[in-house]
Amino acid sequence: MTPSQSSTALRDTLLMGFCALFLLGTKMVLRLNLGIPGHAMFFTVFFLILPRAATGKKLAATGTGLAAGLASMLLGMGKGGPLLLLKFLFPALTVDLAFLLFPGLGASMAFCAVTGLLAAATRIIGVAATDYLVGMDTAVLFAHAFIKTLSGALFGAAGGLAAAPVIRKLRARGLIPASR
Amino acid sequence: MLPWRDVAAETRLPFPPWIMLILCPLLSLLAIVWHGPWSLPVLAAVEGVLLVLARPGKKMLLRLALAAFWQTAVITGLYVLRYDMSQWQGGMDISFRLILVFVPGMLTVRLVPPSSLERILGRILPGNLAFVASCCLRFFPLLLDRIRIIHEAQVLRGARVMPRELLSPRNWPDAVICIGFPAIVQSIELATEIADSAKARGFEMHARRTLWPQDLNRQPAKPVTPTEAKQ
Repeated sequence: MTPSQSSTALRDTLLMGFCALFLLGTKMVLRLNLGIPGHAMFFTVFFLILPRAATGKKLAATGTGLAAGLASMLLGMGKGGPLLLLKFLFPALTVDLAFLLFPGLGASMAFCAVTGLLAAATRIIGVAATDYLVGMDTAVLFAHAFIKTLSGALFGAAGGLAAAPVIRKLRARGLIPASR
Repeated sequence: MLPWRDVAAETRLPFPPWIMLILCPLLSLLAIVWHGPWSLPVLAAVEGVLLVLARPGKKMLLRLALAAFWQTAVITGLYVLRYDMSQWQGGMDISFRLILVFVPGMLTVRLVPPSSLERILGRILPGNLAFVASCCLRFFPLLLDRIRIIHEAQVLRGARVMPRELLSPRNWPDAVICIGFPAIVQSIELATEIADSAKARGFEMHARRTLWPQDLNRQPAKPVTPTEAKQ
């Protein structure tokens, strides 16, 4: 690795770290005040799509999600203990997969909205796993997980819609290459 | 140069903070996977002791009570709707278990100071990741300061981004364009500055990173006098 490559790699990793901290910060600030279930998915999706588009690394969203998940697990933000990691991991993997399958569409509103919707919908896996492991009845489990995921998915789509214009502006100003 | 503070002096714990970082996720995990008859009383007792150690204020207790109330109301309500009134105890049991899952995390925030967390991360993570984590934690307040200045400037320009105005979804696009975009640009700029500075100081020259503040804990070597040197 040449010095300039190492510097860029460090910059990208730092940017992912900042995005993880933004994600945690917004979750911490908003989770008690708004009172609308799933609204935290807006910022989760926004700060997962952004590092993926800005750094162009294949697993940037997953890295950011893992960092945020580990930190929130340690800080206990939200229910689920170690299973909190799943709640970040599945949306992050979905974002990475979407960008891998459709490269160069990062600035498209429709692409970001659909990616955000799907990424936020995967939250159902983490919610259902937590409910199942604590011994919740199956019928109640599905109703509970569905209620908790539905509004989250809509907020996730909104988060994707918000990320697209920011990516477009970053591209226009040459801060990220157009290929991402 | 900032003085290197004693970890034990800045925590309220009778044991090192790293124990808390192991104990809390473990307690959360036990609340999920341990279903024996003694699970709830034992976990409640352990978490109760930690809660007393945390010396929670009225605000924290109120927040905890509110969260517990809503949790219990929703889960028990779903149980009663699905079955009948006789199943309320099952719903209460699950609700109590879920409360025991999230209380340890809240206690971690209360009991482990952020500076200790940063030092512990430096010991756990491999060299470069520890550097990135500590840099992000160190420079994040600076980034927030820059964003606060941007926010104030945008308010003066007439952007509808005051907290009260942001309650209306019509003003959310303004927030994204006037605050979100400059915040991202600032993050990229700060990350570039840090990366360039690190490179200029020979970052990645050594495979194993050093963590200089820890060296300040050690007693400085006693200076050798000319007489001792002769002996």
